[in-house]
Amino acid sequence: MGSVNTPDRIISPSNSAQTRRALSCGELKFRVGPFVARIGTGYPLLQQDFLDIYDGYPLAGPDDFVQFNLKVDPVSLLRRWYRPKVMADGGFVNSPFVPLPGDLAILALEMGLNWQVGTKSDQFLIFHSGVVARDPEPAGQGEAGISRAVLMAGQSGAGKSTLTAGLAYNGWRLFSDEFALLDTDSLMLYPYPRPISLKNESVDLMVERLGADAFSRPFLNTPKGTIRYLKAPAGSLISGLRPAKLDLVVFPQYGPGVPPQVAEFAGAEAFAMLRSATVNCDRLGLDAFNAIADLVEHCRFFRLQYDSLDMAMQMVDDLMEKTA
Amino acid sequence: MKGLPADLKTLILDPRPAAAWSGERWSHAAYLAQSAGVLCRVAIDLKTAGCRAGLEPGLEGCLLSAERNGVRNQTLLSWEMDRIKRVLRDRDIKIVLLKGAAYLAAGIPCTRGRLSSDIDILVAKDELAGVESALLNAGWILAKEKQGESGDYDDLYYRRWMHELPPMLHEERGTVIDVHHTILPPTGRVTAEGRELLELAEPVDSQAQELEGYFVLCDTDMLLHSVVHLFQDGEIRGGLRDLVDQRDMIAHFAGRPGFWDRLIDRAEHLGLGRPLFYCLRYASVLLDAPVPESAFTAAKRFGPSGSVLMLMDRLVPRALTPNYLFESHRAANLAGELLYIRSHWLRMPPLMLARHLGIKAWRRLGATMTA
Repeated sequence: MGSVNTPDRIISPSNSAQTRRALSCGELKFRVGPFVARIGTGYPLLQQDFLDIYDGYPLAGPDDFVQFNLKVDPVSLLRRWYRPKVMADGGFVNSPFVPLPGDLAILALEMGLNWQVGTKSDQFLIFHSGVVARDPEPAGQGEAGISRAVLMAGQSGAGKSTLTAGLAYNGWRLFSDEFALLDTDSLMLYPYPRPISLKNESVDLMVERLGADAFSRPFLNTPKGTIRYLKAPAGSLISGLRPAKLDLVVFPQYGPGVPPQVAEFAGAEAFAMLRSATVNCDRLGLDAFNAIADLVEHCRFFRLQYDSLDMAMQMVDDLMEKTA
Repeated sequence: MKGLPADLKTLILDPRPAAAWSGERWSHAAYLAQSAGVLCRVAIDLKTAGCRAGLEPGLEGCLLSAERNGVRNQTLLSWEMDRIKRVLRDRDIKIVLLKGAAYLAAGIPCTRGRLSSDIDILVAKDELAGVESALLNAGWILAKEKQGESGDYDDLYYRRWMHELPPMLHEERGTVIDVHHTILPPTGRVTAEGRELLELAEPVDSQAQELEGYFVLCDTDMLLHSVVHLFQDGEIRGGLRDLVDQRDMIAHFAGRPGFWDRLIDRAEHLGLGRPLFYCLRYASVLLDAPVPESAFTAAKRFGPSGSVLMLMDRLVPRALTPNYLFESHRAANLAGELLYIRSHWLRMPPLMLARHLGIKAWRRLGATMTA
């Protein structure tokens, strides 16, 4: 890997041979937001899918601290060739990882990383939600130089990922479609830009809008149906660590044919709703409680109901405009 | 004898030099510390020493995460002791806290950042049934019910052969309690009478409301219980945290008048000389426990034959060292397997062991076939 330690080293087709070699030896270290992950896999199909959806991600230098380690390999020599099955291994005694068909190896990696972040990153208060942010104009208008974020929470299937994807490719910077990472001291959100996992109908909708090049190959017959990963926009990877202030919290609800509706709420209801979106509130205790209380005071909360992605994106744009 | 990885040892004993380590060095060492269950302790020690401020943000984040885990675990532990006391206080019996809860109550240094997965208590054998029904009436359930297993064999195994009740789980809080009546299974080569331990147990010396009224084992027994758990009853593999507990207890108790004589006598009396011998040997070699020469000399008679000791010296350090994910660990796995078999050998007579492992294997086979 050499000893180069410059942030402009990224995973790209031009160094794919090196990346594959690093993956094979379990030496590939790359950056996702505030984390460095070290990945090992000798499974060629997974290496290929990894190169595809992590194209553009910054490589970490030898001196960066690795918080997450993950290996994904066939469960046995037999299963490497015959009806291949792979399994993620992070070295934990109690992990929920299950063997997956070889074709779905990238899911094992994605779930393996997300599980580690969700269970072992209590430096952040984590919300199960999508996040995008608006970066300040270069001229430095508005609140001087601060990026401003919107957090999209709600039950899975309500449309978070699709809305996050739509906004991330339409003027907003992708923070995450999975986890919002809040620093409880500064109350700033940190980016965790990962490939966005889109399922079933959302896939067709977004492929039509963004073109197939922005996507991984389709993964059929996963536990959640058909999945395609939408690659993180290059801009969201380059801006790397820059955090954002949370201004807006929305609970989107997509429904075919429903009348559009934007309903604001606040106070105890906002607290309860935001609390229910947390992943590790119990583990942080008082720090989490205080942080949520502060957010309830400083942010505005809305329920959105819509029947098209364009409508939802317009709603979020408008709300952010007004919240400014 | 092979020692622990040097950086892991540094983190456990005095992590201050680690503030100057490179990210690469930290990545490896923190992984091992996490696997050994001591990363919270490292985070707290570095904070206490004022060494966390200049660390790389990613590393500081990881340590903060570990620290928060430790703090939360202690809060849960205290709360659980409070809840259990409410259920059992009317029974007017001696309830002795064991392991993590006891270290917290007795203020043993290893309590900082120590993660306990469950709470362990010891009561007199004839109180078992009463304690069990009181807990079952107050929101605890048998853990196997929760898992929906047909745990009949397990249940029977516990009740007939073990030194504790089957684990119980609080239905709402999800916390687990193990109720012991002694510290070793009555089937093993070595057994210890719970009555004798209860006799010497001491009231907790603390003003904390949740601890008031509880007892802890006396110093020698507290150490011996941990020792037994690691070297007699448990499987050693993955038990580095237990050895750290023992090191801290040794350091904490060493200065008490007559401690070493009492320890040796007590081990002899309870028939726990051999495991104590191993503890003193490995805690001092691997973790620099301050064991005086006189104690080594006195414990010498508990030691195994030269060839067994040579074998243990090869196996134990390997089995205690956590595996790094990106390194091959065939030797460590083999050592772990051998010590696992040893632990069962010590736990029950040969025929019973054969039957037990047979039933376990049969069930595993059944599970594989239906999967």
